[in-house]
Amino acid sequence: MIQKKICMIGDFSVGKTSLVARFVRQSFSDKYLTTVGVKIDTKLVKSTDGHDVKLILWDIAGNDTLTTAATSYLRGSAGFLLIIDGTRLPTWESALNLREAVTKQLGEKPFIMLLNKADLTEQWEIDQELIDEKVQEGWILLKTSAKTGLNVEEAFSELATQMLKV
Amino acid sequence: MSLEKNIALAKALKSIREFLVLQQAQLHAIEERIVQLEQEQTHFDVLNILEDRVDNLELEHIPSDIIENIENNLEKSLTRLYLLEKQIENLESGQVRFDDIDRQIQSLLESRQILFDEINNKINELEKNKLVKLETRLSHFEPVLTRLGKLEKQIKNSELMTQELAKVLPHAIRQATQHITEQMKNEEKAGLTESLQEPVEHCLRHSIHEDTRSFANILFPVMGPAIRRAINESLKNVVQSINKTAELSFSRKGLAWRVEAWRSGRSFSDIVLQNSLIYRVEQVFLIHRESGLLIQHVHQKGVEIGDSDAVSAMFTAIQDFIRDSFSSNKTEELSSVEIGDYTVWLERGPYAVLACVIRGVTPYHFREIMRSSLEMMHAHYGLLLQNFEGDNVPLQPCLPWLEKTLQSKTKEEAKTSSHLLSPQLIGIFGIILLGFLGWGYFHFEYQQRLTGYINELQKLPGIVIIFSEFDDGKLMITGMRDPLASEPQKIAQNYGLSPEEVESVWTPYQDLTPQFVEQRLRQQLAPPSTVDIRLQDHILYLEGYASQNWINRATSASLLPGVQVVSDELLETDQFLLFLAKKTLVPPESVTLNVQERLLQITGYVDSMTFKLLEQGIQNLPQSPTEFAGIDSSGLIDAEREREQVIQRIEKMKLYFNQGMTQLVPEQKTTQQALLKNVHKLLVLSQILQQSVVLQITGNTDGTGSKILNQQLSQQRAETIINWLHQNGIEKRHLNVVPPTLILFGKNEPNPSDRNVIFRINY
Ligand SMILES: Nc1nc2c(ncn2[C@@H]2O[C@H](COP(=O)(O)OP(=O)(O)OP(=O)(O)O)[C@@H](O)[C@H]2O)c(=O)[nH]1
Ligand SMILES: [Mg+2]
Repeated sequence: MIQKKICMIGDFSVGKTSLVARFVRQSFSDKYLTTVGVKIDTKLVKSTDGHDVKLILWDIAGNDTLTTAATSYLRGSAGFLLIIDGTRLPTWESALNLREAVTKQLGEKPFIMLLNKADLTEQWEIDQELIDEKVQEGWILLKTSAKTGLNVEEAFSELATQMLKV
Repeated sequence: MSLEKNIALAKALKSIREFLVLQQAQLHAIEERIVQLEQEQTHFDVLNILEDRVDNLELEHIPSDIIENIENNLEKSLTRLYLLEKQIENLESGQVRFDDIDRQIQSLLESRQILFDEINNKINELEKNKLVKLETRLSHFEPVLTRLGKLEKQIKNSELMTQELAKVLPHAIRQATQHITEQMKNEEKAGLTESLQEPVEHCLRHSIHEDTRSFANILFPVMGPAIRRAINESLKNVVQSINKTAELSFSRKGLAWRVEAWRSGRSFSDIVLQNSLIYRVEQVFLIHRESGLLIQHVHQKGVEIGDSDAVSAMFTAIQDFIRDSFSSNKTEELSSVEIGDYTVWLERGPYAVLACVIRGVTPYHFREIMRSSLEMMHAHYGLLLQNFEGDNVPLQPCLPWLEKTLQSKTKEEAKTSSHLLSPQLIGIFGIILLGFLGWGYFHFEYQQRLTGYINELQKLPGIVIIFSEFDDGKLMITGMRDPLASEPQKIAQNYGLSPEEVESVWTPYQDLTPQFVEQRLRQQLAPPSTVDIRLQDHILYLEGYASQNWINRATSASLLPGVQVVSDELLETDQFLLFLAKKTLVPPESVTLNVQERLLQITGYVDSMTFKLLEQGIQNLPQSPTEFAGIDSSGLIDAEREREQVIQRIEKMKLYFNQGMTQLVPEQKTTQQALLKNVHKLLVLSQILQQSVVLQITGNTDGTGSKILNQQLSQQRAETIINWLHQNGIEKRHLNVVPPTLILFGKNEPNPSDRNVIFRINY
């Protein structure tokens, strides 16, 4: 079976660990325990065209820039999820910076941008125009919620599909 | 040449044209004259008719004066006629002249033709000359061409020769090599070796210089075994020499093993190793070095295994973590990890890492097994390993090598006597042996060295020798020594004197020379690197910054008598850092700086310009273990930008109404709350920025009914919202109704979404 390494990239507290927990263990907690270093999980997915892929998920401690440690953790990644917290506009900014840094490190790799915490509509701060602009550039963006599970499975299997295409 | 020809032709043609133009002008004049003459001819005809009529006239009927007149006229006419006749004659001679001219033209043309022919001939002749010259030139080329042909042939030949050579070269080299071996016996320098040596060396050097890494990767499977063999060889020597030493210790176990070694014919060290260690390699992971993906995994039967893919990745992450966190130059690598009862040994190749999970104590030579397996896998599947992208099927042939590392060793007896070979023992034996061997040599200069040693000690500050004596092969020294003075033992070493050779008794005392006083103070106070200490005339000056604790300690400590402490220029760390931050950032009044535990907190609202300046300033603040531990500027807010965003948010909002009413559609609580929150925020931000602000509210209608009706409804809706905002704490001076630019009315198909209120900010 094919294995692929993917990294969870994004500012702190955007919900990287929560997304992995929802995806791998179907669970969610309101508590925030920041990730130190990196946490690894695995899960089997089917790409949208029916292939089995084992994803090795590297949940890297969040930061608004790429730390040296994170740079080493990135090595050999076949793709990544770029996560922002939809209720905090600054995390969008850091995600753009992070993507640039990651691309510099890995070269162009498939990625999907996740606008997480979609369940918190009241505090939502990301305008549709921002999203449209990125879609125009060919990015794939998904509104997700680790809390309700919205689009979580879809995000991972879409990324798997993208990685197999390469 | 063709230019000359063209010029000659042009000249000839020009003169012909000029001549023809002249002739044409003459012809033209003649033609005109002929027309005139023709007119005269008609006059002549009239005269004839008149004559006839005169003849017919009866003269008697005509008065004589008339006749006379006619006669006169006739006479005149006749003279004119005569003149005409003359002219005609002239004309005839003109015709002759014309013919003459014609002839002249003809002859001229003929002569021109001749000239033209001549020119033509000349040109032809010239061209012929040129051709001849060309021909002669070409004839010069001929030998060159033949030479070229020859060269071509030669090239073809050399290609042929190369092909031929390629066929025989391997054979030739083989023969030459045989020749070498024969010559080597005679210790001559072989021809082939000599001629190949330099180019091959050059090629290798160039290749290594160009791409060291790939060269190293190529050599990895070769170099590893070679290096190990060399190390093994030398280790074997060491172990054997230790054996000799260890033989001296006649422990019971040692003897038993010795017997075993003698019986089995194996080396004693082998038996010691075998008896002292038990271990079991329970799992082996072959991990892709770059990505941490698991390539292959083997384990002992019955061993519980978890998610080996995750474990593999985790091993890689741990290695990354260790390298990034603890290795100063990022090149040192983790080679083993302890996890509870397990030890994980890691061995790295260029593209893959081998990780063995081991229970128990592993002999060091197991590393060699790991290394050689890894080398074999690299040698056979280097390319596949390098390009591994998650599909491990092609790398299944690596399994046998992995299984080879899945070793275990058990033993009947667990108690070891490994101290026989303990490194300490080796060290002691070594030193004794060295001491013994060196004794003879050193004895010769011994006396001199002793004197040199004592002389140097006497010169050292902080050391006072009271008494020294050489007795019973030993140097005895009694004296006083400041604990901060140099170590006599170290100096003894410089003179080659071991501790056994020198027996000294030092009574501690405090030397009061400034050098020692300052050093002692330093030791006592342990000043951080941020504090400068200076002792001058019994005054201790402290400068810089330090923690309050340290300052208290430094200023209140009971120092040496007579030493006074001056700490006017000493600041508490946070105080100093605050001062530094203020000096660097020069923040406006609206910004508060606070330093606690070296953490700088910046809070407050500022305009964009100041915000940028502050951000730049923050970059310049030093962050290090003695300076700022961190800078938290999350409380520093760019009020202008924030205000812009709030305005954008408000202007996007709409509140909807029920049809024909001033009552809001229910279920808009979220928008209402967001609106209130943002308007409040806007007011606060505007106040900070000292900017006035008015929220303009415009009511819209769906256009059913008359214009007046819609106008009223629009106004009422806006007022409803103003009242609601006012009730929620927003002063009316910030609120204003602005009628819509377009009032809809008389519509039949109303659009519910037109029944709304929108907001604009005026500032
Ligand atoms: N409402 C809501 N809360 C979420 C969602 N995802 C995460 N959270 C919460 O956000 C907080 C941070 O989540 P984490 O998953 O720990 O964030 P992280 O990105 O891993 O953070 P770091 O490890 O510090 O980088 C937690 O309190 C989560 O409960 C979501 O989709 N909706
Ligand atoms: Mg986390």
